Amino acid sequence: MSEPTGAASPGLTSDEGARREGDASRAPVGERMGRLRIAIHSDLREHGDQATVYREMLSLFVHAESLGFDSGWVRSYHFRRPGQGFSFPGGLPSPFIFLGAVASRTSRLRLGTSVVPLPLENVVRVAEDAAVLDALSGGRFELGVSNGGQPHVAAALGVPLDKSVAAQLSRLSALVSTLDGSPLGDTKQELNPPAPGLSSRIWESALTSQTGRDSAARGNGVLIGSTQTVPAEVTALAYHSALPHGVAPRVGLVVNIHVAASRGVALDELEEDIETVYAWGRDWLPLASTLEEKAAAINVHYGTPSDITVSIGSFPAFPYVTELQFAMAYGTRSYERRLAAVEAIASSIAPALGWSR
Amino acid sequence: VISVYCYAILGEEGDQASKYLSALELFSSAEKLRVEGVWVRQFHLRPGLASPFVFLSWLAARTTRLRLGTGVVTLPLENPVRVAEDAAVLDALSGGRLELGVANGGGAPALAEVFRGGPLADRKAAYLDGLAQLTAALEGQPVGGGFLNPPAPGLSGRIWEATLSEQSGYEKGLPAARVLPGGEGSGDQPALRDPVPDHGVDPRPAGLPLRDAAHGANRAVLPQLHAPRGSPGTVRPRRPPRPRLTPPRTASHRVPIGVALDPSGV
Repeated sequence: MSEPTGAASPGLTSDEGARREGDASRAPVGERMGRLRIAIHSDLREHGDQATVYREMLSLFVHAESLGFDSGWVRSYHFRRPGQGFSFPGGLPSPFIFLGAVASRTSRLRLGTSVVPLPLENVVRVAEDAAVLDALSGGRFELGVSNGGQPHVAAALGVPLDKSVAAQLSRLSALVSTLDGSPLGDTKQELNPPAPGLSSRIWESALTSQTGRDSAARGNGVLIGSTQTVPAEVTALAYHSALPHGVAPRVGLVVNIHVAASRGVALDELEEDIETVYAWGRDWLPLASTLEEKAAAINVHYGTPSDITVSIGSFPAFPYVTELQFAMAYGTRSYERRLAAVEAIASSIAPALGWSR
Repeated sequence: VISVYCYAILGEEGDQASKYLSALELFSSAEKLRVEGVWVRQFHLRPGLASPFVFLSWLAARTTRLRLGTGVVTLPLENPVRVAEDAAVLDALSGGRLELGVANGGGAPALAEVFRGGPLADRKAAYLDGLAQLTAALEGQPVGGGFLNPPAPGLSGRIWEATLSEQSGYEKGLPAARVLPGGEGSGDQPALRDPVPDHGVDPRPAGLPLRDAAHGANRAVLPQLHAPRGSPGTVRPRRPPRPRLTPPRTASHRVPIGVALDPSGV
């Protein structure tokens, strides 16, 4: 991976260097970041009975709140496609519905979509779902959106897939004005319920330095996924460098973790998933040949809690992150293993990375 | 068998969040009182509930037995496949407790512009097409190079349709297994009459609101009665009702689902 170019981000402490050496125990987060936040993140893209998958993940989110996690994020994914490899096991097409259930069972956890692909949706319907969820959760909703969407999904939904920058700008602008209570079209009516402040809780999925800069200029947060076409730190640094003065940075980074007795055991358990995901993204992921290299290419951190702490702490994008979003999508299959993993995050991994409740 | 349901319009002005939450608390309590289920209505861009599925998912997570009904989702203003997805996720989270009420309609052309990007040239055709897409997706027919996820077994058998006129009631009643009138009678609607000719699909539950209790329905539990056609339990409303809700014509609807008649038997 290449190093970020340009001036170092102001305010990062000299501990950044230590982190890059892998000494995570000496790695408080830079002053400018404020408090490091931690989240649980899931795409719910699992084999097996989907109702069970949803209910177990709901329980895990509730448990994460009790352990002090700051947020919970879910991805949206449409349709079950047999025989499509990485895409096969389904997922969650309606993040707002799932988060409505999470809102009901929690009182403090912030609830995020990661992400709603705007080209596939009616922006006003998105704003309605967001506003109702925000009302039911006491203002805990974080609205993550993207300029994504696959052609086969768009076709099934009967929407023209326009991912041009101009179209996305128009959608983002409509989303903000809708959330801010502007009259809609010729209706002379506005969004109900009102969603005060929600337009300042928009996050955008960012894959490149350009999208990082653009999101920053709009004052939005950025969500950086686990598979990136450019290194995550390049996007994150571009975001920080373009953030208007006085706007608090919001950089969420998905980190996949797999907790096991050792790195060797973890890799054995991860092998199938890593090979599948790497094969899916082979054309644009960083070049890798060994299993270890492939794990690094898709941002999987594995081994004992201590191994994972060192691995995340030395990840080049880590110094730029305000919220670590822990995913257990690969290798960690059973509910019991996931429960143990969130407990390891809260009790040892996150505190060693500078997080406190 | 008579079941008692709650019905909330949530249409009042005022703080929407506290209105939603007080209705949800009421509904959560209603389950303890052996109320069978709840129905909530969808309204866009005016006081009311824009997203019934989100509201009901909150309730699903606090209850274990309550049937959860949309009464109704205005289908021509929605993407029917997205409705199928929302409904399927709610049904999965609630353990199969969703009752999916849909309606034709859509109000002013300006609303269609906002939600569907243009006027609906033929609203009835749009509705029927949407209903067909919704039903097909729920029944597991191919969509998007794959299938609806999560699968929604049996949910197409829990669709209810609103009808606003005697004619549409008659049309939709042909294969009907049940009826759920609700909402506000305008006074110029035809009186409730049996819309179903003799097709041998009895018994057919009917849901009738006690209309005069509907005012301020988010504050008061509004009982609805479900009774087979022609049974002594059938109640005729004092005012013409609307809408009437009947399921679409699919084979699965010929089997009485029994949820409205006897939720404990499912």
